[in-house]
Amino acid sequence: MFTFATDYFLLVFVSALGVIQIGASFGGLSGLLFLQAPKAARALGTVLAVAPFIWFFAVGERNINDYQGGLDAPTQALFFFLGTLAAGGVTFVVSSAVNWRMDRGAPAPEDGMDALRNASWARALAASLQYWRKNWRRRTKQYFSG
Amino acid sequence: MAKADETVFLWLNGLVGKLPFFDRIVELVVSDYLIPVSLALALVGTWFAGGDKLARQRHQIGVFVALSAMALSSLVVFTINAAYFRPRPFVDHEVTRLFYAPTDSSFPSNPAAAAFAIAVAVWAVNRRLGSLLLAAAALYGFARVYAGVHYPLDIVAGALIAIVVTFLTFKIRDLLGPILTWVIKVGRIFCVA
Repeated sequence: MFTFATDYFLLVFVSALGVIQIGASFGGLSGLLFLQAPKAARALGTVLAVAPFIWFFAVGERNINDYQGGLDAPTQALFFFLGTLAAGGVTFVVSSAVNWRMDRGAPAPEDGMDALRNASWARALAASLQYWRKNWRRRTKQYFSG
Repeated sequence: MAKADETVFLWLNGLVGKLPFFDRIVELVVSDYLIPVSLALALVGTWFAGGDKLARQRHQIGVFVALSAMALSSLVVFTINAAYFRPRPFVDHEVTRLFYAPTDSSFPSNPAAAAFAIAVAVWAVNRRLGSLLLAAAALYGFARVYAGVHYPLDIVAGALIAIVVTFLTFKIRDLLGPILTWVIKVGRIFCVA
């Protein structure tokens, strides 16, 4: 049997997966998408974002005080952070696997998230880390000097 | 002022039970897990929004401001709560509650302050999404009055605190600018900013 906290974690985790898909679709970050067609990505994102709320409120009473089994604000914040982090991790794995063959030109190492327009997250990250491994001395100096 | 506040509260709360379906909707809206979680998830989406690098950075700074403003608004609310305790409406009045009975001070409303802080910060960087979030925050405030856990003035005060604090947070953003820029630069190494 799931506890209230587990239910909350699942709510945030799955909804965050959906929200990331919607946000990435509107931001044109193809490398993050599970489905490449923008409408399909948004539809999938909407289902992933909304369905957990329906489930969460359908399976039990949710207006409960924290000393009667609900979650206090710090616990909510912690589980929200963990759920979002997990969603980011799953997005990394799934989108990198699905978009592994995406090749719209080599990602520029200093593009940051913008590199995900043309490459999967894993490829963009690899390019960025490789660049940083080679140039860390010079770039770190530049970063810390503003 | 307090008398008018109580009158409006009693009128609104007096409607509970007349439309059972509406009451059920309010029970969902007033929950700690529908609008607060939706607003926080909207911040996650805002992080990825923006058509180009510059627009995305503006949105991401908006997310930082929202989080800072939410924390600072809560701090202001807790300080006021410590100095002035206003009992919840159900303590002093015959009330039909659609929510559990909180024990902390009623004025100003911390949930309203947190919700409006997020909504106002997002509105500052994205008018369309921000307007939607402002509507959600206002609905949340209304639901807390209707459900019998806040007076209208508690919500108004919470919202005003959030608006002022978020505005000030945007103003001092220039002071925090180098830190924010550095965090975003580090995020860029991992392609998360």
